[in-house]
Amino acid sequence: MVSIEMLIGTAIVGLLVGCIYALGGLGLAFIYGILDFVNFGHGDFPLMLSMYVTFWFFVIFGLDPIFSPIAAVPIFFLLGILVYKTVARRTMKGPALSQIAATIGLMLMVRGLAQVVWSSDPRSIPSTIVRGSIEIGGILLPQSRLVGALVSIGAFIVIHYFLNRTYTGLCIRAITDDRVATEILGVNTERLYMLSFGIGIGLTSIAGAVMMTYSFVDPTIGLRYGLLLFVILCLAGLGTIKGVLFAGCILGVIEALTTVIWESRAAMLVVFIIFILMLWLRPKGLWGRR
Amino acid sequence: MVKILSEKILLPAALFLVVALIPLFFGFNEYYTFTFSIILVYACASSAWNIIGGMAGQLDLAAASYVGLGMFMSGTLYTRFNIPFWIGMPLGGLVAAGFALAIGYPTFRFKLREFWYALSSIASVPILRTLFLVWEDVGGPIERWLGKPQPLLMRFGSFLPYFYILVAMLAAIIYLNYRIKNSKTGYYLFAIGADEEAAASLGIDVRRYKLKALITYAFILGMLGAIYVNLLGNYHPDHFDTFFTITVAAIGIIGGLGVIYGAPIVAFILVGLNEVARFSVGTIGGLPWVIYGVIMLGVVLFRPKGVGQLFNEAYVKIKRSLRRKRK
Repeated sequence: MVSIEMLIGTAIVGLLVGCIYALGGLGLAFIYGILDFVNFGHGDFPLMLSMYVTFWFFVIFGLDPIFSPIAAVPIFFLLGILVYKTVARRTMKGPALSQIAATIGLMLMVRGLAQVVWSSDPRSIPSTIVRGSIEIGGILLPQSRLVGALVSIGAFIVIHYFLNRTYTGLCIRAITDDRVATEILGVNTERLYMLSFGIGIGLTSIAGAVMMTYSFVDPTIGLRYGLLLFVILCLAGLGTIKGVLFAGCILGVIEALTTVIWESRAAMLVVFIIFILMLWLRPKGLWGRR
Repeated sequence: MVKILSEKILLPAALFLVVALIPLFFGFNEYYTFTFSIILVYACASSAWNIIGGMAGQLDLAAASYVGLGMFMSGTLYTRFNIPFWIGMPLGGLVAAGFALAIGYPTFRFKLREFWYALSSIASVPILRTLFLVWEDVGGPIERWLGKPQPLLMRFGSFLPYFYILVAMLAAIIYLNYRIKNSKTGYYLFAIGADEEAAASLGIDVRRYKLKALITYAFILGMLGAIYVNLLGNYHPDHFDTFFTITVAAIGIIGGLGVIYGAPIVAFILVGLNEVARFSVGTIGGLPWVIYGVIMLGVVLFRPKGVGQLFNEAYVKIKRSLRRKRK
């Protein structure tokens, strides 16, 4: 029988993991909300790739995964701009089917490249600074998740201030409302789109790097996390930052509790069933505007 | 009359004759027969996908669910109750179609569209996989083997009969595609694929026709699953494979949406390439995916109508030049 302390402990760890998922979901929500472009392979192109890049940083330079976002984010920002220039801009205004097809193509390419370069064995980082756990009030908290959750909440706060307090953020919010009107007022929307795409990719790459402190990575992981990110997006709805954080936390808690109470294999099952029910019953999400 | 015969029937018939003679070219080698059977499975699945994905424009990514359900249905019937495959096959199709109805009806009812539909359909694959992993009476983590051949129950010792069943099935699917494309349903589906709201405003019952296309597709894939389980000789929850579904859709998109011959030809080229890559550069496992991805990106960005359109154009050009020569 599962004790109450264990349940509470699991739920709190799930909450921390959920914050990290939410950061991954924020990148997706950023791109979808602002560009109206669906990156179907979001679990592969930024997330899995950034996990592998973090792994490489560790193997080649001995860089600790918790510091690797400092190096990874600029790389992924530039990669994001490259993808925007080549893929997203051409398919953005086209039919949804061609967006999905193009991003699935990208996803297959990244997955295949990962398997070519890093083979299909699971890879993980043997040791990081954030090992071990801290005990707070009788509950054991793994340091890696704790630091990861702090990083992700920090990123959420930065993004919140960026969107609400800076001129560029104001412009980005304006183009989500009405692109043509913003353009008439003399804003270079093309550059803003590029910037937002890069930021979206960069945000998810932070989540990938942080995940590497406690998780392993193999080429099939992209699809699993990718679906999870979409579940967060669907649960949160469009046009909210707060909602993405809450949705990620909810998912993390659900996943952790299912693993303890029922079975570890069933965790994804519950998440996906919630996803399908959400899609059917409340497609605009719990906190969404539209 | 003769001309219609020569164009509409003779060419496909010749193509199928060539395909049917493939085992002869390779001296009835079992390995090649198996490889070509797998290629045919993809060709069948992608051609069937063309009905929902190509014509109706719904990017369905649940192919592995339907195939897997067909596999489990017919495989379980065979291993448990010794029920032969020619009964298990339509039953597998029915189960898959029933699942498609159960998932598709609310999905279309609640107006899930575009990529939300794609996501909800791809989510059904891991759901079913986990369900069958947990449900240990039927699935479970251990793969179940079909056992030794029993020709009377349609379990042959060779891959050859399955190869011919698949050839016949591909012919039937292509004929079905052709019939649907040139019927009222086909025009409705193309209208839905082009613009759903416009189609609905013209009085097309969008939900019903989408559901029709989905169920047809799921039924074919369920039957295909029954053959697939025979080819592989076992079934396991891992056959609910998300990358199977993506491959099927990728072949369909590369082949060209709504182009009948695109998907089978692309399946022959790409899956064949995959197999060649596997035994020539076996250590580089991910290479086929890279090729798929690059081709798919290239097709979407530069030739949105698909490779099938290229074949069509080439065919028309050849025909014209032939006519000129005759003159």
